[in-house]
Amino acid sequence: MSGLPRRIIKETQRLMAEPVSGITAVPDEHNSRYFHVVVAGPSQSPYEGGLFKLELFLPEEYPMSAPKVRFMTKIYHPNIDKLGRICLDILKDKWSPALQIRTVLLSIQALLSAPNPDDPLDNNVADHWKSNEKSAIDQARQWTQTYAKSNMNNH
Amino acid sequence: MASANSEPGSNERQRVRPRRQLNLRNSTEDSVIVLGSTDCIDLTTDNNSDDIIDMTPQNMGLMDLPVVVLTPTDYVGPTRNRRGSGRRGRHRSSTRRNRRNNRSLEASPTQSHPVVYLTDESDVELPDLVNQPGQSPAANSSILQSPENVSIVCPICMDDTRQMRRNHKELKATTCGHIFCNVCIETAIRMQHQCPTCRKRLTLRSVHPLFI
Repeated sequence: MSGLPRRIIKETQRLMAEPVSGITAVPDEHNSRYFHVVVAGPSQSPYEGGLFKLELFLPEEYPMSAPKVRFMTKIYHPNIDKLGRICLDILKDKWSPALQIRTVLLSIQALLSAPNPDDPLDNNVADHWKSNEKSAIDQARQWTQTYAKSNMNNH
Repeated sequence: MASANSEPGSNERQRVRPRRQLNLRNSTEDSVIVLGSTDCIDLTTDNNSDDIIDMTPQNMGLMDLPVVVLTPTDYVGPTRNRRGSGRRGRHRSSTRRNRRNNRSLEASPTQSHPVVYLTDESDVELPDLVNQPGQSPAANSSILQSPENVSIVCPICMDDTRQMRRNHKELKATTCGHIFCNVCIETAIRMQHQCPTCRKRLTLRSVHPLFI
């Protein structure tokens, strides 16, 4: 892709050279702004042992506007809806151009460790979480086993 | 009180003292080196071995330096005294009388021909002379460190200082103390009105150039 900003080139190089633990991000061979991401479920969370596939796209205005990130793997989480869209402030109004692909993915990993049912994206899941947290966590663990195990073809 | 009042009067007398009456002995006490016919100036009177400056012609790359070697007939009297630097170092211990003399010297008109006086305080200006290519400016390396040795990266475009120079960008700092290139911080402030690093509210006037 011609005219790829130096920042995107540098970020990509660094993601490859010094990957974040539990996260892989590989640029698409046809589009350097599109990344195939895999996030490992954090330990001591209901997502532990799962590998979650995401897509990340850097819009034309990046880094002045936030990357577009979406879960491709089905996940039971109050801040992630059926379509995989993520409710995370730094991807919306709290975006800062000093943030990077790396920091965004780390924030998403942290969101898996700390679901926030008080700021829900999927109301059904959030209600479940608030009314019966243990049951909701069991459900999340079950979805992890069903959809996020090593077979990455799950959607 | 009374003695303090009498002090300015005596100072006044010293100040109006004509320059011609200056005796050279006092000046040499102030470490003004007056040279005869020799063309070698040795500053080792200071005994600071790292400040030795050899100014013999073969070691001086530039012959157009404003160094005039004074003979006694040329000598009229010092016209310049670095009062600021005189407060530290050897001058602190100089006598009151000498200090008064220095004050009166400052009031005298400057000479028309370029005269460089080498005193024990000449370290103020001389580092420029020793910083010739080929010589190791070890003593000055901390002061004269070039920006190439400092790794500062704009967190938005990720250009370092060298790339910024190549791309005709400047280093800028915000009032909250964060560093960016001028292009990125101005764009970011126009879009979000806040510091990209700490989110403090900023306007374009909250940013100033940074010279390193």
